[in-house]
Amino acid sequence: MGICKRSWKLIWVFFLVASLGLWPQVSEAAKQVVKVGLSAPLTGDWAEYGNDFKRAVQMVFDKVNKEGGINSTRLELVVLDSRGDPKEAVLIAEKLVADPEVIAEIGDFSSSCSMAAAPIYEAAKMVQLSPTTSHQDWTKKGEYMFRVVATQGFEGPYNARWAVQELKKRKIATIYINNDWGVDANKYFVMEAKRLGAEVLAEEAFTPGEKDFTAILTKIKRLNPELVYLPTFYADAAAILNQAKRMHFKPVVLANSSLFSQKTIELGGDAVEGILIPANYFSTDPRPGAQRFTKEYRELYGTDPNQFAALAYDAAGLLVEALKRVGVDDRSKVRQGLLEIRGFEGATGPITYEHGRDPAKELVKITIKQGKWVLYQP
Amino acid sequence: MILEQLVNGLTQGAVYALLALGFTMIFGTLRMVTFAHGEVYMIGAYVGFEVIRLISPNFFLALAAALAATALLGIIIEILAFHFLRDAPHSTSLLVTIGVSIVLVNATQLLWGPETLALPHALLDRMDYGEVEIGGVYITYFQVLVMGVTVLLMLILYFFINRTRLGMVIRATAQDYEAAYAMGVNVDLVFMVAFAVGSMLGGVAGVLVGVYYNLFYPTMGGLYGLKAFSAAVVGGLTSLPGAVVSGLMIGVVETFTVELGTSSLRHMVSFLLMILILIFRPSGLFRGKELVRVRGD
Repeated sequence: MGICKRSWKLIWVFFLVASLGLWPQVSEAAKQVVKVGLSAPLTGDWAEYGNDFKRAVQMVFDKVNKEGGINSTRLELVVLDSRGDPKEAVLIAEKLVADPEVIAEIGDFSSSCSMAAAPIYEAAKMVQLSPTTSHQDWTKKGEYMFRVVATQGFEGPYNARWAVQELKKRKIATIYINNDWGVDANKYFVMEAKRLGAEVLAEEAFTPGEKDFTAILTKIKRLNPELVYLPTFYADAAAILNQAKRMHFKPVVLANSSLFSQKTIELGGDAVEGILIPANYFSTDPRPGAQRFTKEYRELYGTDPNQFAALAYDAAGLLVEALKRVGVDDRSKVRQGLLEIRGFEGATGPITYEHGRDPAKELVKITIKQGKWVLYQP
Repeated sequence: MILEQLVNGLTQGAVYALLALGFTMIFGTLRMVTFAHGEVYMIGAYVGFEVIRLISPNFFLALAAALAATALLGIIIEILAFHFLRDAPHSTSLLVTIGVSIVLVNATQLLWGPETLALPHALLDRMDYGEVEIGGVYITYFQVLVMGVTVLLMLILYFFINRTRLGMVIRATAQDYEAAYAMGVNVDLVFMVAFAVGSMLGGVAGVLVGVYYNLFYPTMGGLYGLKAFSAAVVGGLTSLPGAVVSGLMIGVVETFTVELGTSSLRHMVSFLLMILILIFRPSGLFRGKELVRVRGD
């Protein structure tokens, strides 16, 4: 018994010494690398968007690391696949928050995912910086939510003014995806369109995953709208317009920046010809931030980037800028760093978080002509 | 306009019916539910996609390839989930089919990527479905084909089960496989054939739907599998006409839910209807008789 007690004491002393000895090494290691989480759909319906995120963010981090990192701390990207599923986004948030080396998070792609995960980041005082989450209420869920994209509260009315004032369309029908984002996108568009005197003939929501739109289209075709508004994603929009074409229904179509992808053209063929959307970024946009990004991306990946890559690139750039200001020791300070940024020259135009965490943005109007996205000319 | 919506509903319903026929074929013979059926349908669609893309824009060639591939897949699933587990509790086989469905979705993601694929439009134009116009309503021949194939396959299957020798053997095995085995029936082969035929029906549905909507993605089997399984249950689970009638009914009910109400209610209304039917007729609309004529349960 006596021997036992003594050996326990020895073990305790050993651990004490060992942990004391290890302590400085651990904190030194933490200073060499700091992690940033990326929560995005890398598989599933929105996989293309998630992979755009990954490429663009990695590109910024690689550049920063090559230039010696932030105060000689390397940035490491931890990529986690949310599959566009809010449940997964919550699990990812818990995982990132629990890792003391993670300083901030970029993502998620969809409003549903970002909104589900927001309370976890808020409780951990970790910045949740989403390139694309545009649901109006998301940044109201706490103090640590920041976005790069224009909100639906901004884009919806912008589109409504385009449809009613510029295109002079007075009879409008909408088909939207029934999730947080789609409901919001539809709501703000319809509100402004009605305010401007347009008549909204129908508002049809469809369940995510739905691919049969013939019933909706048959109904809407009969109402004979002058313009159809489609707050959806590319696969849905392509399916809707392919099915519309089959029933010889060819209205003027206005949609959201969410359709700005090569996939829209690939899946939609000539059914998507002439579709109008606003974009946060366009490769022939003459603004210097956009030009610099386009050049860098082309050199690295050999193709033209899209706006999702541009938004994620700006998210990464903003985060780097914030970390340069406040350092990498305390995740709760990152918020202050972001708020201090003025006139950040991004690929999607200038960004400032002066009045809250929803930046005001300048959009570009684009359309599909002969199977290519081009700047819209009235 | 009622005509146009009816055609929309029947086309959609025909797909549910085709898949439900597969469930019925498999359940009727093996007394087992497979949850990999939606994924077999998805594999059928992808095989058709590759044949059209790489070999020829001939729909019937794609159909043949999908039939062959899904028959083979059906045999593999039968061996994995049922052959080795014939005397295990039903839940074991059920879990294996769920596992197989997950493996199939993920394998597809690895092979083809997670993104939605479409046939090049130039190719699709060469397939040129053609259409008829009836008073401003356009019905494509492809829609007619989807409905026609469903009815045709149901008839063939009905004939096969009730009028052929192999059909009789399948019915005998379905009644009591141990007795059939004692009478010299190659029970293993019968199960395999039933599973292969059921899977082929899924494969046909996959090619039809894939080409009709021109969208191919790894998770395409999920919702359809669930709807079709429900249709099979509502139809009586062992009744071939029951599967077809309830599949078509679900399609039409969905379409008219959109027409009269709003599209966000379509799944809710169709599942509510199915719940109601099952409350009042727990064994389904058609108590299955032709696969199993005399059976206690």
